[in-house]
Amino acid sequence: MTSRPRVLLLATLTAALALPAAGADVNFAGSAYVDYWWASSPTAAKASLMGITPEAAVKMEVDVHENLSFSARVCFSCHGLEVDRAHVDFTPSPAFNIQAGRIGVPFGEMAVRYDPTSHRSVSKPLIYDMGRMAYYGRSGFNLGVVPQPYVDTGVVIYGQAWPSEDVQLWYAGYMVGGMRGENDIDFAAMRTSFYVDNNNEPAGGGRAVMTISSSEPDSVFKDFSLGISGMYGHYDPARLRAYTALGADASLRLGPVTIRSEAAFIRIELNPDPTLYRYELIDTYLDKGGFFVELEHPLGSRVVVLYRFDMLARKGIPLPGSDPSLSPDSRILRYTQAFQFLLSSSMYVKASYEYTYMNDFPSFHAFHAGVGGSF
Amino acid sequence: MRLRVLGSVVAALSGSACWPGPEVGPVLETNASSISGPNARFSELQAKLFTPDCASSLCHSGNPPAHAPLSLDDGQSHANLINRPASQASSIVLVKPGYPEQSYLMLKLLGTVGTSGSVSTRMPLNKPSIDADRLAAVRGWILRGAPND
Repeated sequence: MTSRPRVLLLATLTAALALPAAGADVNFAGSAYVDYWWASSPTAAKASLMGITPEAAVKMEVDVHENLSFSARVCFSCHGLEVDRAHVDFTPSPAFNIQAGRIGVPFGEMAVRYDPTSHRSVSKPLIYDMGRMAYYGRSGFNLGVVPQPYVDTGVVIYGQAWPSEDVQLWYAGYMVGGMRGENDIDFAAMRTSFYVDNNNEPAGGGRAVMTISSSEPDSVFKDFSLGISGMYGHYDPARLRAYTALGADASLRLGPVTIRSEAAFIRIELNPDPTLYRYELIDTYLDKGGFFVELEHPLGSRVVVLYRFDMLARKGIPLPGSDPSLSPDSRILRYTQAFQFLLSSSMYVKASYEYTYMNDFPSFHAFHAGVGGSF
Repeated sequence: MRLRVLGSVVAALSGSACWPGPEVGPVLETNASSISGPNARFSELQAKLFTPDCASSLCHSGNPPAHAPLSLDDGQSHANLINRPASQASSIVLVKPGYPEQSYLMLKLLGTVGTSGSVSTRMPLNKPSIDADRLAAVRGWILRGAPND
């Protein structure tokens, strides 16, 4: 563990011990999950984080007073121990609130469900996957479109309004340090300490969600949400290469059944030096985009079933050092059949089967099994 | 077999062109990850050696890097290399212009730095040795005075 996370962790724990004495309201929550992943293709296994992977997090919230709270989340996963989030929330009114610090950037609906306890499958959808996918090196697919959680340093202003009794509008706008990289965004670098901006230019974006809810308790229709997200910034130290990400999401709850779909897209400008590439360079950017559609429903009182189809495509010139098999038009298509068995209100077992088709690399079958819990 | 057919059908249905995407020209044999010999420019070394093989997020990347003492990121590497003492052996500079055999960078790439009494691990760590063409390019660049060209 590097010194900065250690100091932040110490500060978090010190605050947790000191503040209750000062009369502040302190709440703790946490989760832990261990997963085993097996894939039928040795090639895919070598290109991925196969085997046993951990995820654990502890979250602390301190209500300093009626309009001010502090929240910090320490997580342990494939990247080691990190202070995932640490921010203050100033909440003077429902329509206008400020969050500042190390924040979770609101992009897509998955941004609020990335914890293993909050989604039924083991893998996240490909467009948001953080590492449990066959990504063939950081110059290959280089993870999804916007891996979740995307945590950055900055400020977000958010709020909500009710245009009518059944309709809620949630909105947010933010300014953060932004993605980092040299020639393509390097998501792994975003997760390592020194959490400083690399180009002294903030990136910005926003998200808006409209939710229509039923006011009838017995209605089959529960709610319907529609969201849009976007962000823009430069990722290189010289501020020459921009990225633009766009997303749209929808979810519908009908009785016990939930249907969700999200689409996300990112355009990343590249180094325009044609001598770098093994293809003739024409357009100096690459695109990544994809979508998922999923349906989940309970099966009895202790089992939840999820069916998902998702796709991720990478279009554009392969980067220097990338796998020679990567073509300028590369795709991953995946079907996921997942089960979550509830052992108790706070413990569960997850099991899922995935079939992954890749046009540039071997397709494969995969199985996940894991145990987790939360408090 | 059935799943493979299903995968192909789904791939066809989803289409290779959900959106047009950037236009990419044909493969260029001259750029196909080879390097242009001992006369390679520093920018070519950066693009075909330092960036793909050294400046990964867990190694020589960042300002300062999280896990290694030296950043080899584009724009920083040349200044960090020329006449700078090696952190593992302060009596040797990383690149001594004109003298590849007295440059720590060259010794680390060859894996022969142990003979100077320093840490003998070859770079790139836990990866195959870089190919002869790129070694020759590094050597040639240092022999030419290690210009930032």
